[in-house]
Parts: sequence; structure tokens; C-alpha cells
Amino acid sequence: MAIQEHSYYGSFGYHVTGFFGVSSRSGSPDDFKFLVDQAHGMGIRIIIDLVHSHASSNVLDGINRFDGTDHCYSHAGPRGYHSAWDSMTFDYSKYEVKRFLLSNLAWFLDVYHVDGFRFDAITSILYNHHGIGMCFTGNY
Amino acid sequence: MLANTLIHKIRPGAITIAEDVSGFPTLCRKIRDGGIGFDYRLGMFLPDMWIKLLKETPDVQWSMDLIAQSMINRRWKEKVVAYSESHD
Repeated sequence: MAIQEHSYYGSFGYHVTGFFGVSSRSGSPDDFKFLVDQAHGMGIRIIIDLVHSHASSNVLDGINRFDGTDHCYSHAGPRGYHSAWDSMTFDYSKYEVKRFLLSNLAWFLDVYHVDGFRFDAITSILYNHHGIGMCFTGNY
Repeated sequence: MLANTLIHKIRPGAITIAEDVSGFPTLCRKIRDGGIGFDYRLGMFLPDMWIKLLKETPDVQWSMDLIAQSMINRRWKEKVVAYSESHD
């Protein structure tokens, strides 16, 4: 389950609105740091779910239309919208998108001391069709 | 690849796991070998298999062959995280 800040509880945390925060429903940033430290003290490593495949389509509290345009961190027009997930897809060719997401990784490693990441929906990152309506099983 | 490189540079012992339903080749091969550099792939079929067995099949009819084949069906040398519960 994803822990980055999200408005829509029904998304299980996958419609991320604040990429650098942990969900305020579960506590404060210091609470999460305490959890990680306690786990480390017991020899437990912490791997967090990380959503870099898409972003919440929210405008007011999310990063959608952050600069007023429809292609700040996402692709413009329909290509920037994941119809099956009602969320925005990143344009990974943009320099600032790479900076944003890579600094997000460094942040969780440096500040929260997590030991790894479970990357959400890599399929959507790998393919231009995002896997929407695709079937990958069958006879090869 | 950038993400995997950065993570392992900051924390050499860090673990990265990819959720991919397409069976993308080279996902967990080293970047220097032409791969994408994840450490593990999530075994996406396994939770589906367990929930289906639990819901639809009496214990005595469980196919050990299906369970074994599902657990060993993976790409050569690719490490897979097997899990049994999923919000999906």
C-alpha cells in the first residue's frame, strides 16, 4: 500500500497529491522516522511502495496543472491522462520530471532512511499504451 | 534505469522491486548488461492464484502441479517476490 500523501482514501494511496510527504492520516513525518528507526533497531528493513507511474489529477492540492498548463509534469492533452486510473501520466522526457522523481527517491533515502522501494505500475511507465486494455498472457 | 542507478549509488544495499504485469524482459538484469536494473520482480500471478484456490477449490482438489508451476514460472535468473495478499 502506498504511503505518499493522497487526498482520495479510496485510491489506497495511489492517487498521490504530495510526493515528498507521508500520509497525514497515519501520523507526522517524525512519526514515520521513529517507525523506521525502531524497525532498524530490530533488524527489520523498510521497503516503501512508491508511485512514480502516475499522479493525482487534483489541481488544487496535487501537481496537475501546477504551472497553469496541462503539461507541467504530464503530457499535454489525452496522452497525459490515464483513463483507467483517472490520474495524470508523467512525461519522463522532461528534464524537470526526471529531477522531481529522482529527488523524490533521494529524499526518502536521505530523510526517512528507507531501505528500498516497490515501484508501482512499472508497466505503465514502460509502454506508451500504459497497458490500458492490453492482455499480456496467452500463447507465445 | 536512472532511478535504480541513483538508489544503489546512495544506498548500495537498497532493494528495488518492480510491479510489472507484462513480463518485460531484462527488467531485473544489471544495467551494465543492458537491463533496467531492478533487484526483484513482484510475482503478480501468485496472489491471484491463492485467492482463486481459497475461494473456489476445496483443499483436497488443489493442484500441486498448478501451484508448483506458478511459483517456478519466471525468467531465468530473475529474483521474484512471492506474496499471498494483495489489495488488487
